[in-house]
Amino acid sequence: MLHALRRLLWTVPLLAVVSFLVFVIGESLPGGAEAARFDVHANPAAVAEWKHERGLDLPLPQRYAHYASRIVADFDFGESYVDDQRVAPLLLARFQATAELALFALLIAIPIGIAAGVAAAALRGRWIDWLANTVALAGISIPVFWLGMILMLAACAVGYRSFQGRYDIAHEAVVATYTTRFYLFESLLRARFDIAASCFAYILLPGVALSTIPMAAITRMTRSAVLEEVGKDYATTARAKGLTRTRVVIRHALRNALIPIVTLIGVQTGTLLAGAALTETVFSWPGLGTFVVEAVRRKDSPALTGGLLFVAATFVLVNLAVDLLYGVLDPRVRVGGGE
Amino acid sequence: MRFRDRRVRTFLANRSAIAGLVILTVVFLAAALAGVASPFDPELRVEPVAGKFARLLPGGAHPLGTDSNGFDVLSRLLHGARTSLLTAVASISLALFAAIPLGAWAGWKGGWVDGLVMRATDVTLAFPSLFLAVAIAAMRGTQDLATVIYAVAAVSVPPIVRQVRAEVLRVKSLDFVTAARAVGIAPSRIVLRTVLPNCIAPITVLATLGTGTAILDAAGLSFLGLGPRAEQAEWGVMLQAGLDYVRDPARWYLVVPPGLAIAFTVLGFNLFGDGLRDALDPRTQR
Amino acid sequence: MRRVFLVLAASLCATLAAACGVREPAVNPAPAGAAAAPAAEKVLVFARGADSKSLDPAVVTDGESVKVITNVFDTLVRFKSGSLDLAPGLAESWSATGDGLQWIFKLRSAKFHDGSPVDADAVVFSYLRQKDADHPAHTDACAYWEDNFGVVTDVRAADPRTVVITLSKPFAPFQAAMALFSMSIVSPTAWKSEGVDAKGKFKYRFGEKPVGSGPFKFVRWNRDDTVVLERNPDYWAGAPKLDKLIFRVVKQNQQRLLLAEGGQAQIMDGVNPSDVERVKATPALELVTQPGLNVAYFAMNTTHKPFDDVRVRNAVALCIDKAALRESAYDGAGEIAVTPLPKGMPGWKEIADRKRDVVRAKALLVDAGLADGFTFKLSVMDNPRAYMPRPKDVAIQISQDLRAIGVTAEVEVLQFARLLEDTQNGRHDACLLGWMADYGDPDNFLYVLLDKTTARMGSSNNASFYTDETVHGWLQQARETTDATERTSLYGLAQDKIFADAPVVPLVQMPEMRVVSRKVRGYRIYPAGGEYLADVTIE
Repeated sequence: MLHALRRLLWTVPLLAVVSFLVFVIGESLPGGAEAARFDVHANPAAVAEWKHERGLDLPLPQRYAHYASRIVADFDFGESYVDDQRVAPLLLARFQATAELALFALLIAIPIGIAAGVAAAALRGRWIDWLANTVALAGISIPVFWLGMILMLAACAVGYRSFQGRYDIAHEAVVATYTTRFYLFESLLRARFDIAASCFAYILLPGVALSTIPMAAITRMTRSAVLEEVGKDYATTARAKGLTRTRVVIRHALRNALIPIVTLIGVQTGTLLAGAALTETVFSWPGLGTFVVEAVRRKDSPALTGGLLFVAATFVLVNLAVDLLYGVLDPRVRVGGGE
Repeated sequence: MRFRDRRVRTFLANRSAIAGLVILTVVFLAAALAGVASPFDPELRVEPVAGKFARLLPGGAHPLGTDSNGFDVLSRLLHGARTSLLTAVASISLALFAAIPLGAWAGWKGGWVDGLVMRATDVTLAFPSLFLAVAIAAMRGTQDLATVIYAVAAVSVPPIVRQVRAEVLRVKSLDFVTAARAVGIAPSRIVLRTVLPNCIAPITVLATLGTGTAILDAAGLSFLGLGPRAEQAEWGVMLQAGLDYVRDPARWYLVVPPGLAIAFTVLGFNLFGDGLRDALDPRTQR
Repeated sequence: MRRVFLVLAASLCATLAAACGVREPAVNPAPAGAAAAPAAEKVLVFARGADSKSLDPAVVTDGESVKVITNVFDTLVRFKSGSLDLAPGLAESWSATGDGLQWIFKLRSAKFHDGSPVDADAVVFSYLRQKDADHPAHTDACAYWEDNFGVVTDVRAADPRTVVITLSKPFAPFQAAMALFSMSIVSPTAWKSEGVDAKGKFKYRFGEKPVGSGPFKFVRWNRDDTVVLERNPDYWAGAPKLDKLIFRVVKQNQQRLLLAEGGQAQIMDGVNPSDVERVKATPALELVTQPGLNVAYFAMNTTHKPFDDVRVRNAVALCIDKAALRESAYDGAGEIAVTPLPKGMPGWKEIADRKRDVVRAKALLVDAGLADGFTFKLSVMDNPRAYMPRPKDVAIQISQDLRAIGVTAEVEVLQFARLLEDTQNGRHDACLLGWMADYGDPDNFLYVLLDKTTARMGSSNNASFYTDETVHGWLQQARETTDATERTSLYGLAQDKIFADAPVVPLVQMPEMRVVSRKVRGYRIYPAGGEYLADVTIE
């Protein structure tokens, strides 16, 4: 419990510092806040009045305190400088879109990655090992956005057209009544299989492109973790007792190898979010990545700050969750220990 | 030929490491010879033939055609190698320059210095690298190669700091260092003469693998439109322009080559880096 | 806020909040088959490259907002279908006093989407809120009012069906400008529905939930994705034939075209000129095109050296190869422009263009004491505009052209709003911009872009800060006279002088192009921008 507690306690100041840093980044965009809003008819008095209304003439620490307290109290991320839109609902919607894409990619990557890693370890040195290694290496070397473009070229060649947006527009009215923006998952839960099929068609290509990032890492990690376990005494004993190598790998080594794999998935969240930003750009997926890039282009500090904060918080919290899960999986960690 | 050094032998016995070395040699040659080997100036539109010069199909004088500005794609691809390598190497060098002293200082001093530096890396690592790079590009607000270099350098710093610190901590507890300290040799001298040389191997591995990541991050940043100026021969910039031709199989030459070049180069760094690690680090013998 | 938190928590844990949403009986149960059988419903999807900024007609300046606004709102005077000619809108008729200083508009009977009547008070509300800074619905961003209606001194209701507008001096384009989208009549009832804040401003967020009297009612807006409108059965000009109208955002031109090809969109704009052939070869699609009233231009800031020298400006103009520009950055589409007034506008004058002449250009530079050339910053926007599908490529081509005379253009790609901010404050050396007609009067181009009064530091539309007195005299005179022949000759003089002085180099005039499904009937492009889909139907 000590470990979990320590981790939890560290997360709070970490998020505080991260949010302050993000706030400073957002506030230091060139041109200042007014660059986002005023164009054709900026009259200095109007600019000054607007800045005063928004409290932008206050000192930075005060502004940050206000910003942070609004988030904590009301989950309010302020309003866009460009068009006064409240940022929080947009962020939530975009976040869920990205989360669905990332989850979908993980759902592809985890089983295939683990299977490939195990196969490579079990048949070490054979062609399948070589293949898995090569594919995994390619996976970490190929830029995901380019892969998306290639998939699109290929899809167009075979007449597959479902990759602009998230669902067939005919379903717009129904989807608008959904509680969440996890359109695919919610359609399944609501038993609207026609909509789910449409969502699936749209998420398939970006999901596959994005899945290559975690898949490569999981394959490599599984292979080396399993190999390490196989080399340990208990595995040798098991083999001595007459179990086949494959059996040892699957029954014993894999179970213990799961711990580093789970950790890896946590670490991969960051890469996954970054990859999602690039994949979203290719596939017009209305997610957090495109949101942040658009915010940069519009010089819209509240949107940029909110977006970066969401990304960082997700990353930190997923890693915290993984860490806690790690404690559950590996009893040794629970007792204390630390690094 | 037999090499005395075990590390060289290990490396040479590793086929994929050799493949990485070959790939990198090709890419470095392309970058070095881009000026000579390119048929055209990568930033100068080609002379029109019968009024046509933009989006020419591959063939004849232009093996990979010309893009929508009338730039020769092959020449841009070759010069792109130069840009990519320069960007990546510059940002990694910059990162090393900042990270090595920081990591060594934190590891050697310990205490609050260590705590501060480690917590700072924690905070930085809370951002996925590309997002941090985007934030830095946003703050700089200008579009040039320097923005990309700074952004990529910044995201490369934390892992190197951690590695250096870990190595310093490890070496610090070794007997000969304890002995040196007991004799009263100045700490700065110990760090420079004994500790850092011991860190060279892992840092080399990290820097090699990091260069691959840097190339990907730089290309991603350019692809998002936050990269260098418009005429620059850069692979990410080329791909961004190619995004408008993904529906057009006849224009494959605007989409496929730059991406292949990135993948090929990064693969080279990854293979070479893995090979280096296997050779240099006795702990990860296969 | 609690719900928001729940959703977040659920998302973060990567569990599905949907589960909770479903277990209770669905809040909004879609009748079975409602979505599965949309055949009965006539839904038109209009695919475009960017989202609207706001749906408040008084404050927007971007075309994407206007496309939606023209379907939700009415103006007193409107354009005839597909033309610049005027027709009665919410005003059945109108007249002016002999001196042109008072305009009387007679309203027809119509209703806002919220059921309240469109009366003279609503018209007064809609206009005064743009004019008076202390109006509770006023914002600081009523750009079009400031540009076009500075001459209005009073708007009042003579009776519930009669509005009187008083001007301080005659303004020839007044009638045409009344058809501007910014003169849309908004529902005062909606504005007032949520009371006022501490500063006496209405709280209602009109730009997010617009209420007008137009053919379509606003339903919902999913940012950066869709704006959904539905049919207004009580529309005064007859209910529209579509049941639903959806504006959908897909950024990349070619990917947007995929939507049209796949039947996911019935109309799309922003087609790549290079894709035109493919569209023509697709049986299910039709390319609707019409000359566009727009111009893309290269503007040199005459307050920056060396562009203050007319010889330098002419040297640059002589060097720009518009044919090559059209061939590359415009994919061979569009028409080369010579004067800043687009062909097709009243008052347009045919002027013979300069031939590219590097030798003469070089000589002019030598003459100006710049034998070694010079370096300047060329600012350009990062997003496609109707008059410039690939702005960055245009900048690259100009930079390529100018190398021939030793002039280096450092291309700087800026977000559009940022570019405007720079150009309005005169921070740029030179820039690429364009202008699209808002209504059919030359004043809308020549005065707005090149009169000395619009070269106000801080909010200049005159990106070259061109302040020629003779040109100003002609343009001002043309504003105040209503004689068409006299105006044409005044605008002709101005165009000749502007061409010779070369503060701007007009580049290309782009045709308006839409890809339209063959199932769509009755679609027309309106030359003054905006989309009007009331009469469109789907087979």
